Amino acid sequence: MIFRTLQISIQEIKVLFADRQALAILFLMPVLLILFLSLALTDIYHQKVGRHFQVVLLAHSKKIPEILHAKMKGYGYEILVDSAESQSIEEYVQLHDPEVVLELPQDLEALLEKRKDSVSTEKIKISFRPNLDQSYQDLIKAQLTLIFQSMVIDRVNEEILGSSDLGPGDPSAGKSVALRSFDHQTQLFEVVGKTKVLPNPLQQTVPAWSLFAMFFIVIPLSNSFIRDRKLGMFKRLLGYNVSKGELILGKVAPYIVINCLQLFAMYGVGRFVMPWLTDRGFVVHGDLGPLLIVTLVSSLAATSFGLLIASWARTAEQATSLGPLLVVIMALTGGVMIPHFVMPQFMQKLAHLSPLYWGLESYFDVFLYHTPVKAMLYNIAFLFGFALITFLLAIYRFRWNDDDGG
Amino acid sequence: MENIVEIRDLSFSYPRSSKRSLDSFSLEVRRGESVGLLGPNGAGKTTLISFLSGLRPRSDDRVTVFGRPLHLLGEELLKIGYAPQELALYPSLSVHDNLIFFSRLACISKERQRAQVERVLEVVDLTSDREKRVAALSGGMKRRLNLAIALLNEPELLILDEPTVGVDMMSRDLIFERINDLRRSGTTLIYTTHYLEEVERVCDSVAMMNLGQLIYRGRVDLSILVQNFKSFANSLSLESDPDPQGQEI
Repeated sequence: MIFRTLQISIQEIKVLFADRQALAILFLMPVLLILFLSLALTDIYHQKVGRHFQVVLLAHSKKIPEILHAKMKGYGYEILVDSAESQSIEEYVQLHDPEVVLELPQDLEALLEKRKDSVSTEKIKISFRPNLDQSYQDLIKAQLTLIFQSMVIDRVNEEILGSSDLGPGDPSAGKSVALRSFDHQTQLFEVVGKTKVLPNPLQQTVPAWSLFAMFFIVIPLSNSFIRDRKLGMFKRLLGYNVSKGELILGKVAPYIVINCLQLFAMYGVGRFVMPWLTDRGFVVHGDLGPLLIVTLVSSLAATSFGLLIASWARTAEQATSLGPLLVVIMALTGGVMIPHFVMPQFMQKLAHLSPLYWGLESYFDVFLYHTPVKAMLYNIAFLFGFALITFLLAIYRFRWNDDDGG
Repeated sequence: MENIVEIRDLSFSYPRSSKRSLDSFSLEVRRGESVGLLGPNGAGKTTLISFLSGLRPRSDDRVTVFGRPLHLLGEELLKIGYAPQELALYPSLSVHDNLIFFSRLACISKERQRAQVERVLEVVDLTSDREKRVAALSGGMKRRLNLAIALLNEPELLILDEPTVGVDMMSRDLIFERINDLRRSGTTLIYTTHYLEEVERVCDSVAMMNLGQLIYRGRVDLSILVQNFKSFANSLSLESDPDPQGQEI
């Protein structure tokens, strides 16, 4: 049995490798998708995960930016300082396209430097890059308000408590005892309960597009079955004392191997190629064992789905139009194209219908959360359930030839 | 002489079809005999062949080959050579690669593989085309390769399902010549076609089918065959003649 199954598998690989277009779809397409989408989605992910803002301060004196620098650093801002004397904020925006830029009024600087006791109504000018999320714009404005208010309070405290020995850059300078505990906002809160680690762009795109590519096996797999049925190959092979089970196994097994190769090729691209192109690498915390289990079950789901399309479709044209369409829909709902965590709640629930969602969650279990295999079984069981149902449906509908008599 | 094939009262309908593709069909083929399975489209020829080639469930005891039900044959199935009506070949691979694959499936030992491949290439006159991709072959050459694969395991029973469909005159003559060589060497042959002329050229006897039934079994005689087919067609249209003339079943 093993000998004939192996021969059929080898033959299937030979035929597949003679088809360069199919190989391009299976290997080149996901590499390009990972490459371009990781780069294209970087901003979207930065909006959600570990966001750091770069703020340009246009100031008239050097002293104020130093104080601001110290305070804003506490909020995680990256500060660049430029002179407001040589250019207006409008000119600066036009020339440099900064993410956030502030121009301080001279009056405010004078007040904070104790050169003046009152401030005019001139406001702090701020400009945001147009694609910056509105919620972040509001957050930055609120945080800056807090910073400036605290600076004014410091100034008032200094007036009340007398001059301090500490320099202006020192965070403790000029603070009342009560205010010393309020260094910055984050100290006010302690986050409790579970927080979910969100993937970075590569941690999302590598497993997501690998899964997508694995399911795209539907094209060569279904075409192979339909071609063999049309050519009468099954009739011929069954005549060689090959059982139907051996025949299906022999034809499907190479695609499972190819699925594994796809995953490891994409993993290699994420791990070794992408760090050259992006500032983030494909950080993986998982072991090889769970990775193999998830890949194997994902592959069973993908190949069973391919088999179902092969058994349903009468022609290769039907299979190549319906199969990829369904894969794209499953990928769209399953969080491959649009990350699950940015979807609205309804779509997040709908995602549970897609096998790619369960596959992706299983990969996150491996790559991100370092989940033990036992805890991964929930996601894997859904994926395996999909594989089993599609396989049984495929076998139920399977036709070994197109003859209706003759 | 012993029967190589025995089919007893076999009936079969395709799923979701009210029509019987085989209707109480019986047939015996003796060792060394060359039987033409003749009939129009839809007669049930290919369905019958699908039982003999293993495509249909082999557990049916009403079909025996080499004196045993198909499911008990095991590796003896490899003594049956089968060329399906379709060109069951891998178009993207070479002629040689196709033959090597099927010789492996036929469990031909590595030492014999090369010799067998060379032999069948010579038989079907494709030796100089061995490295060509199948997709690049003409229709006639593909048909000959289809036949060559069926000959790889030197079959005792050769089943050819319409082996000359879409073939040019030259290839057709070559195929007939080779089939007659096989007949002379004692190979048992089942040859399906709907052309009387082909039956005359390569068969000793004929089994004439229509609508899943055997309507004539006997020697190849053009006048008898034509008479039988006409009388059967009349019996169906008039629904009045229970015993068509001239049957030699």
